[in-house]
Amino acid sequence: MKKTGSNKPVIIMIAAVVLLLVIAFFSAGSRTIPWVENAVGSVIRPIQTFAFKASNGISDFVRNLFNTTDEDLEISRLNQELAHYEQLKLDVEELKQENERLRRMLDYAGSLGDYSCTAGRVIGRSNGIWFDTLTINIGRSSGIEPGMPVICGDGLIGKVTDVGSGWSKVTAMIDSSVTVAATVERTRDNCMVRGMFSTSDTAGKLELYYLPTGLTDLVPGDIIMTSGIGGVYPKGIKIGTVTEVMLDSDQAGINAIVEPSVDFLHIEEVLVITGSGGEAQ
Amino acid sequence: MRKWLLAVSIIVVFYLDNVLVTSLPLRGLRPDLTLAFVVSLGVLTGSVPAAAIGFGMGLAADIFFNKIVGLTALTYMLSGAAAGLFYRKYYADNLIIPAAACVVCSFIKEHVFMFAALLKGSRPPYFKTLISFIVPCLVLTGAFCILMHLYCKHALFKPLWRKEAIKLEEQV
Repeated sequence: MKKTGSNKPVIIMIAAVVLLLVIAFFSAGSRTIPWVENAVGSVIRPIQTFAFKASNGISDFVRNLFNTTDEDLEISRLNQELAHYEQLKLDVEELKQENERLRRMLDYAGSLGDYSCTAGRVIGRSNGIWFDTLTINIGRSSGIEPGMPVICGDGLIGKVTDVGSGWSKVTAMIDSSVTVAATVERTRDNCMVRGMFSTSDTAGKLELYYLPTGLTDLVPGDIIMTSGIGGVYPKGIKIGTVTEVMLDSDQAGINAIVEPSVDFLHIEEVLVITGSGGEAQ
Repeated sequence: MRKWLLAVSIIVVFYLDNVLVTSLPLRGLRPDLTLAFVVSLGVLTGSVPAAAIGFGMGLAADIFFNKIVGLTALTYMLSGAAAGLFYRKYYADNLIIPAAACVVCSFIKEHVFMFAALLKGSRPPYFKTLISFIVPCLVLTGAFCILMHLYCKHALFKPLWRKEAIKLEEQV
């Protein structure tokens, strides 16, 4: 008992070192560290806001007790105004970015044709590698139904699989159980695209298959779009770009790795295609 | 047991595990904080409370975030129940037991999910997935379970004061 107790700090330290090494190892590939800010910010922001407001309240109270001259009151008023405008500036910047994203998304939806869309926000993600699911904040009350395609400004995200009253689950196109009928934009060849299983080197990639050899000259850089065959996804939605081309195991067809056009880790707003005004889906 | 702190801990662990960890680009790897928490509770409080908490947390995660509802709840519930088999069989200071139990539970859980993915049409390459995903996740989850166990042991349970210990000894 005594021995274990005396080893406790060492165990905690070793655990902390191991964890830090693991995190350092996985973040070594990237020079920028926005996720660290995101992660720390997500945890600390509520506490920080509370602590900031509480400490400000106390210090304001104490200051007001001693600051009684007109100049002091004027400085205090101007400081408050300044803080208000600084906050306003941050809010405007945030709204500007959001506006830009939404404008891009709507422009993209408009370019697809006469489809009616409903906008929503991503409020959750599945954990683990086995399934790729997003939770969005619109559901049955907004006219969402299972099977509806989901897009964003960069292209296809996936389709709605479960619908609640005010939320829906979207199975992402990179989920290994999802298959999408696709077309190579340059050659107009039809093929199929499916999610690849997310082991470390293929995480978030797609596999293109069923493209016969000899009939096509697929090259890295080719853009893959939805073909509209099957009726699930409308024609012409961008899926991604070919990064690697190879023959399949029996050399009867061409397989390719496709980098999705959507950054699935950073989706914030989505558009659910709820119906078509004239065009068949 | 400090029940209010347990309630707060459940909410914090749920938030960290389902909201924060999923947003970190760890190449698909993730420490299963809920599993570490449930296993630690199982070792400290027994099968029933741990299984109940595991079931609740797993079900909430399934409903809000996951594709197959019930699978996470089932695995967490069984993990809590299994970890409870070690309740009062070892010293609470022992960190190896919860960590080892957590690694075993995590191993089984990932295989259950792999099987479910197979049923849904995925074809994960077994050994590649084992080496590049399952084993690193087990190590991370086991390491977090040690930290979680230290937290649970010290924060969730009132310390036994000398007077109370003497009283208990006299009763025995």
